[in-house]
Amino acid sequence: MTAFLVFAALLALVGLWVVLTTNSFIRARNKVDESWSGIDVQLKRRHDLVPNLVDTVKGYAAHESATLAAVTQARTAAMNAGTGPERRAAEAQLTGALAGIQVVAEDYPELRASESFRALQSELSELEDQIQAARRIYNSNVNSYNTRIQLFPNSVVAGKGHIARELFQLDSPAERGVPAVAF
Amino acid sequence: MGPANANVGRSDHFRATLRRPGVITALVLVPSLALLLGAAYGGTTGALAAPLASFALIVAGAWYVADRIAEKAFWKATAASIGFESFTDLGELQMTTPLLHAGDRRFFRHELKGPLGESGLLAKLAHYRYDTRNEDKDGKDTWTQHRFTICAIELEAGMGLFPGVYLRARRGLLALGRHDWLRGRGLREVELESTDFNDAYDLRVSEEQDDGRLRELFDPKTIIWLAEHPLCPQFEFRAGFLTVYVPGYLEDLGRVVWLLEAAERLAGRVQTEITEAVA
Repeated sequence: MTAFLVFAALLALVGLWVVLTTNSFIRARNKVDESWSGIDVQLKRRHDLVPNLVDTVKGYAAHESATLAAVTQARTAAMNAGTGPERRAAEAQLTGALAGIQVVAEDYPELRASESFRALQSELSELEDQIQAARRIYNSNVNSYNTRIQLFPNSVVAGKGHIARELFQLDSPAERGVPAVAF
Repeated sequence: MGPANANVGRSDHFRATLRRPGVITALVLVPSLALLLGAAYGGTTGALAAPLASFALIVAGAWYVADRIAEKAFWKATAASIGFESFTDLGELQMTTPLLHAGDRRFFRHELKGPLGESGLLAKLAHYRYDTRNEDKDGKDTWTQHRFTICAIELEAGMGLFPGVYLRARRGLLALGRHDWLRGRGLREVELESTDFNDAYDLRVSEEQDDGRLRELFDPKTIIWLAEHPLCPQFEFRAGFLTVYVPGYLEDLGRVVWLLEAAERLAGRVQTEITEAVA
């Protein structure tokens, strides 16, 4: 009888642990999803900013139609991209295209001096900072979730129901590379 | 350049205090008198113990005085270096956020006020302590002290946007049995999207707080900044008053400046939200 009670108590403890662990996985996964929507909000704000930026640049640098078309195309692609790798690639492309606008602006002093361009640039810069921060939050949540489901014995409970998430990298591989330093 | 913290110069002040004629006289006369009285009333033991005890008391008193002088010198230098001045009107401070009228009695020390960086706001900085009364087994009052360093800023225009926001470092199991000045205020707990932030902080808001506006206040940059800040700044915003605080008394210039910078950044966030709401 005692052995049975001990066994039942152990079983109840294991059951409780499974429930608590599963709940903690779900909480962590929800945080990952929530932080993804945080990135999404910032990216959408960036999408909304692009037409104004393109219009402003067009007013001063109409000859740079190729750069502006690339930005518009990248924006459309980013807005239509689904999720996962496709989205990451499209957003990275938009980041690159927007960097092209900064390069163009260097050749047009009037554009650089324009108040609306400077305001848009400042807004874009703030948005980029917010995107970086949102991305760090997301990646930190993903790390926390992945660690939680991969650690033993949690991995036994996680099984196939909880799959490790991928980190979100927005910058292009070229930007991530080590910068060349010339002496 | 003043002392970097409240402990710097204490030994010098101690030596200077001991060299004062009054203290030297006391160090000679009081133990001598104690020797006579101890011998008269306590025999050999009294003759030994009384002078030693009186000597120790005078030295401890000199140490206490030196400590207070060093502390005063530090705060005077701190006020000068951050562009603040001392003030005594505490009325406004005591009626603002829940922390500042917590407990059964409250004390402020080293009150300073001045401009908060480039924000154009006025900040009030102080060491703040509130005490809670408890009863011991014999029914006698005992007091538990709770110490903070606070920076209070008035942001009246934010009153409508943020009826009550309370950000506190998560206290975990240590909170059990500790006084909670927010208990019973009908606040609801809010979790933000960052696991690190939620591990570090406990965010509560009043029932009528608009969640959208709250998320705007805690934008990703602010969340990251708060979650990684070594000082773990906490704040309360209620009735148009922002109180940024850290537990314990800060007694070095670096941390005081850190607290002021944190207060400036948080006040800046509220100001930005006010500007956006108006626009």
